[in-house]
Amino acid sequence: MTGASTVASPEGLADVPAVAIENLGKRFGGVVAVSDVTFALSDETITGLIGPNGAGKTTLLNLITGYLKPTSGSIAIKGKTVTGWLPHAVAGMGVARTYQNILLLDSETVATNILIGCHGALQRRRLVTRAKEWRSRPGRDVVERLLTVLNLREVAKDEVAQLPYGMRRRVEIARALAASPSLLILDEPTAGMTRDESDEIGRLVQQVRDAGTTVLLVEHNVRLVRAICDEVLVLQWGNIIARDSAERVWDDPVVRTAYLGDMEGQESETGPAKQEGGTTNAGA
Amino acid sequence: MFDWLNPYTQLVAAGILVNALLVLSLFVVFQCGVLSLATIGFMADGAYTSSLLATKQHWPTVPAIAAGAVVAAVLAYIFGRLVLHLRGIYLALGTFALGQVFVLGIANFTWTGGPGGIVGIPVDITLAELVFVVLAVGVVFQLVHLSFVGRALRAIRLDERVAAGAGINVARYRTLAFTASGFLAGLAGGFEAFQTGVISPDQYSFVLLVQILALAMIAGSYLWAGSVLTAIAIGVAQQYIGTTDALAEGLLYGGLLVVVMILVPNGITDPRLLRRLTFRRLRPHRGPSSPPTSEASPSGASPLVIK
Repeated sequence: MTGASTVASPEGLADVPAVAIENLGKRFGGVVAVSDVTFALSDETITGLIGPNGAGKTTLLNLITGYLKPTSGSIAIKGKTVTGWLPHAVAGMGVARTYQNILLLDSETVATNILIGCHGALQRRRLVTRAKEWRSRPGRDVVERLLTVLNLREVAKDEVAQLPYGMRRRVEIARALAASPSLLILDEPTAGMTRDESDEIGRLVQQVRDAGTTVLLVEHNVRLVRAICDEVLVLQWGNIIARDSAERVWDDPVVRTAYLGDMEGQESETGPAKQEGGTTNAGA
Repeated sequence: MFDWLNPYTQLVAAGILVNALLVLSLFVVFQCGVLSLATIGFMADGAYTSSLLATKQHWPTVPAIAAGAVVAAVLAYIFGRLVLHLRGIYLALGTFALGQVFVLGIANFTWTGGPGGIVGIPVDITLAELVFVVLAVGVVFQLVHLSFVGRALRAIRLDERVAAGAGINVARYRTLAFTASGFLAGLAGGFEAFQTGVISPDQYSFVLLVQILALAMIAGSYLWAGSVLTAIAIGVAQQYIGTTDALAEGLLYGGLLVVVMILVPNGITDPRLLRRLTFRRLRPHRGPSSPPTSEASPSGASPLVIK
């Protein structure tokens, strides 16, 4: 539990990274999902987390957000050790996330699903404020803004179960943004989206960063990662095998071998774009 | 206020309202996905606490009933922390055992009157008072329903992972709901005791639990008003069928429960059903979804002023 050591830095809070992970490990029985991962995310950057299927990306996100308890190592958020904390407590530290297999309250409306994201802010208000603001339906202004930003206004009162895949993704992103997070974790936010949609999500993520949020992005869409990430972490077999800028990371031979395949490094970069075309057809 | 009703009707109406409180006591835990079968136990706690205070300590009726409800709530809080970490059927069994322990305990102490119960409880609760209490409870439920607390409870029922990810302390809200459930059951127990003047352990039976459970299932776990209306509607229907006919009563509850489970598995206050009934559009989105556009934001420059 020495993860909070960064707090001691004399420069003060400015030096405290949004997330600092030290020697983090997670094993499920005999399977090592994440082993000895150490990294820190700088404030107000977009960090891409990539790696082949089964590399431990989602496990890593689940460890950071408290859904899984690590078997070793420590996690610090804004300098505070949160190792072993429950998800709601981690969320209380200003962490919001989306899930790989979209998790929404299916029988509720889009607006309600987004409102759920405001819970922390509403809960933190003082009782007097709550009583005063009760009539103005607190949280609605945030929802209204997000409905506009994510172009969901038209379906605001619709049940989310009825929506197509891409829209459901956007509702999830809206819910995460409703928490005004200081760390936003997106688990494959553009999976199943058309090219236009994912470009728009990319622009949105950049705006979120510019507004002062640190973003950790798990994504298979290489084009998007190249376009928006400030830095890329490559995970394989639960280890970080490379860390570099989004432009340079692809030149690393280890990354080429691990992620893009042995023989066709250059060609497979177009692979995800092709997949995108496929999902477009499937979605239409 | 209800003098125009004959005494028998008043008694029946009071019984129906007590049932409504019991159904609400289940509703409040169903709302956050906890299947609690301890309600009857808490009802017994409330009834015995208030009756003992009134008969042995000569407390006035209103403080006695309030104390009964508070004691039931405190017990619910303490024991809720023990059983609420369970899930699914284990939770149901845990709460069932809890409720039975209370009833059996009461039956086996001498200071509670043992199996014979307590007689001579002052009968001085009017129907008007009971109506007032149910309405007051309804107002509180409505305020909670509209607030972030109600939303959090519903989120926990629908998906605990989503709730936790949004910063909702699942364990705390479940304990809160369980405590409220104990309070309402205790309140119902107290009111019943001061309506009938006589209580004994055998009236807090499994049969009563099943009846209340059936009502709660039919009512669903979305709107509190559904619980009250279901309790009233079925209570009234029961008067026409006749309370002496156990078979007819069984058919009424069992039959209704089966029909509701088939037609509206989430009860008559299922939000989907309500949306359909209020003719809100429920159109399927099969066409290609429109991508989010920057033009949608009026300012254009930075639509996200999140900070």
